[in-house]
Amino acid sequence: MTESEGYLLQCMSAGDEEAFRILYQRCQGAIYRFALHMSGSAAIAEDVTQEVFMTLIRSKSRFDPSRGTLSAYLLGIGRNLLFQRFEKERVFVPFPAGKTHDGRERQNNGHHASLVVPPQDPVRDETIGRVRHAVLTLPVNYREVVVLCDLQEATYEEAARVLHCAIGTVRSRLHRARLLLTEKLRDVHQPGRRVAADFKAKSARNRS
Amino acid sequence: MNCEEFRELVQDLAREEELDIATLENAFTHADSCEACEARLEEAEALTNDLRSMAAHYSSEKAPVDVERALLLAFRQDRTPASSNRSIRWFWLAGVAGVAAVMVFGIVLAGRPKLLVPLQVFRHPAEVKNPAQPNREGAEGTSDPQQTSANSDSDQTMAALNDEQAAGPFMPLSGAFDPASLDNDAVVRVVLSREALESFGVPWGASGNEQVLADLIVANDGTPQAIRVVGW
Repeated sequence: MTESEGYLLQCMSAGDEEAFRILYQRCQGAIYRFALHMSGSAAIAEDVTQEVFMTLIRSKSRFDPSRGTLSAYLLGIGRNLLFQRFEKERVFVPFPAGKTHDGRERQNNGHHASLVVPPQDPVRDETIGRVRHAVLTLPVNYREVVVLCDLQEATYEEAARVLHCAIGTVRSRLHRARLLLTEKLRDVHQPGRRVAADFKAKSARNRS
Repeated sequence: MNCEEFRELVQDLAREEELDIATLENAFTHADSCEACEARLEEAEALTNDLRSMAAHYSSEKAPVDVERALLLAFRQDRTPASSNRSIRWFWLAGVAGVAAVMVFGIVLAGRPKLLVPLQVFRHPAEVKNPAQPNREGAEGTSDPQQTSANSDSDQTMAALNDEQAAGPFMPLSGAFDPASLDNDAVVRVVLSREALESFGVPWGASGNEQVLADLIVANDGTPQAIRVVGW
């Protein structure tokens, strides 16, 4: 935790509104984007961001600076709120049946986001849209490491603090998540394969 | 380095994680000599680029201004009730303390009536119960005892003053008696037996009635300070 963060938190605890506002401005973007990438919904990201800071207002003294930065602490709160929301609203749909990259049968355990890019989503670039969709369809425990380490540029150590797990766990989950993403995005990176697959499928239909 | 070891490292290579120079050299040497691993590295690097593009695309995303407004309002509301609750608590504490102080003061005053009435003249119950008991006036046949018992306190006070004039001065019962301290003491009219009177050191050789009407000056601690005989 930086000195100024601790000072701002002290001021905020004493009722200084400006200190709270500065802390909010400093941390809200990361929390909002984390929730947005995890849920795929701007409305959920908005709610989660608000609830994270409401928690900070209500329980200022719970933060322990020796256990990490305030941002990591708030991201941890945001993650818990997201999971509660996922459990409550059951916004998941089964992961498409098939095989994983290593040939095992994929299990539909219900922990995969179904949210796709909404029509009003500002994403215009097709590639970014595909990547976003691929990230959203990752299992939650893989999705969160991709969001933290690749999209939020957190170090393994920072991610481990947010996720309350070992650094090695973060590294291995990220490795596996990226393999899953690579598989999902293979068509994007090698469009020739998709064209060939489409041609084969069309030929098979014509023959039948 | 073999393909298995390369697969373990390929994501770190693509993410440009910090690796030692020897490991990097081994990995890239292997990729140069293995087409499959080179393709893996290219895929991983392409993924890194895609994710970075996506991160850059969303880098300016933030919560709407409404969220900040709502939070600032909540912050003010959280702060205001806390301070007003503190004020209310102090107000009630001060009120309770004030009431307690008044009650203690009242109890002290109730326990110290002599502070309010420095000199009181009582008619002893025995005197009332025994109207036939003669006093000096009764001995002279000028006063009806029943009428005396019906007198008001002021009448009793006047009678006591008359008695004081007629009966003479008090006799000290202890050497420490100071008439100046009379303000805080009380005069009590009592009926004493002759033996009791003599136990105060007042010899009483008169014959006749065995009981004597007397006024006692009693100190705050209940100790008799002086005595005078009013009647017998």
